[in-house]
Amino acid sequence: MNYIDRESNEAFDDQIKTRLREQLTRGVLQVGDRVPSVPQLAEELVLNPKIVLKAYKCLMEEGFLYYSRGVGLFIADTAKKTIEKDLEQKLTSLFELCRSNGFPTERVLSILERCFANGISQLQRLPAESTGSFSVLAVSKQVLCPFCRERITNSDSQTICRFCNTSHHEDCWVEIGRCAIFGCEG
Amino acid sequence: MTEATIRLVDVTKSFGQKQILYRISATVTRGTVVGLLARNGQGKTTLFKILADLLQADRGEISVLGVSADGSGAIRKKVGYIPEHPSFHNFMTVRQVLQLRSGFYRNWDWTKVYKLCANIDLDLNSKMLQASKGTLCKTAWVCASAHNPEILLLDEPTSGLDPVSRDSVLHSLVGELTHQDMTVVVANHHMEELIGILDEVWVLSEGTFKHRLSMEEFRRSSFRITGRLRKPLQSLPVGVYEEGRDGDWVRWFTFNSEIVPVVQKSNALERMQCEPLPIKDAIKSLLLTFGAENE
Repeated sequence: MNYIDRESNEAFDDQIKTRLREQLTRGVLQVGDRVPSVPQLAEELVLNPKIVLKAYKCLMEEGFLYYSRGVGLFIADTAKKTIEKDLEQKLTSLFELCRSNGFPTERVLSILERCFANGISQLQRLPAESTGSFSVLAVSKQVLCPFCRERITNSDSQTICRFCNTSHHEDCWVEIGRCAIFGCEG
Repeated sequence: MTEATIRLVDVTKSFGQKQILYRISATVTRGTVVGLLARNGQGKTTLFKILADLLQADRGEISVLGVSADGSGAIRKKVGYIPEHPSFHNFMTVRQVLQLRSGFYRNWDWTKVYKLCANIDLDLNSKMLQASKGTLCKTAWVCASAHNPEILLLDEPTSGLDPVSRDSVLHSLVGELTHQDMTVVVANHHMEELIGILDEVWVLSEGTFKHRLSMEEFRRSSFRITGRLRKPLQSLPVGVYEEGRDGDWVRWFTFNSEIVPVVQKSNALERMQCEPLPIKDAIKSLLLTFGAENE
């Protein structure tokens, strides 16, 4: 938090907001944590307290922070939701930008799909609990294992090929020792 | 909340033949932090001395917190002032200087003094004779804020300080700001270190205020425009200033974001590009544009 980009044209209060949201997403801060008071943060960042106050007020209106009288400012339960809302807005405006510049929608979608596929394959290597929100997707797509031709369900442990992103049953993968897709190097 | 704490009407000051300030009128509202931007010798320090009632203006009305400047020192009791060149009695130590000063102010706050000294790393026992510039500056800062003034007049508060001490002084300045509705007028040649603190920037040149803008607006609406001139221009578009040129290629800047589309429409430039002006350059450009038209 202790860094503000003075060269940037982004308003300082927006920078504070972005930093706080980032810290919640990255887990540096957690719901219920106390954030520095206005004087503390102003002093730390060498910023006018009015700017910090403006940022905090905005975050409070959004429902990211709540103020407990005489105790301090805390990250609210609804904070994650406000981040999602903020991201939604940013994505929308980014898409608007793409459209106004004549960037074809299909390419936007294909980029999104590719990012998404990469995201899933990366997440699969993480411990199971962090993939929770993504496992639903695997089921809804009715993924079939290319080796045994049976459905890969949510509870099955699976391995995803690094090259073609195809899911396999973990046992099947171990059995053949490679990706079952013809021509794939994985 | 929007009352004026500092009010200047038609203030004029000259030294001999040389006119320093000419018919300055300005008001500072309570709780505002004003940055005074000027090139050397344009009257910054004179203005500070007049505000602190150390110099008498030739003409005009000066009122600070409702007290008019009459040379009685009533204003100095209410303001904290850091002079450009702080100087103290040579035979004293920092502690003695502070003790002497404390006698003049009813609100002198010793606990605050000790806290401040610890924060900015000022040794109370160091002697004023052969004191370093840093010690002088820090002592001046303690003297200026020890009586909890409502107004701070800071004439280059960080000149001569190393980056660490400068930061500590700036931190305590921000600390002052949070405690109350402090009004601050500050001049500094390194304005970029104060960027996050200022509310307004005033450009003083040739004895008058040439420009007055809010910091946030200034940051967001300063742009650099580069491109190739299609044909030589008789004059620059209104609100656009030239930064430099290389043949047909020109570098312009503007402090008004609405001008950018106007320039684009006028089709004067080929391959026009527009980028936000970094704040350091923007301040320099502001000074170049408004600060020294006599050069």
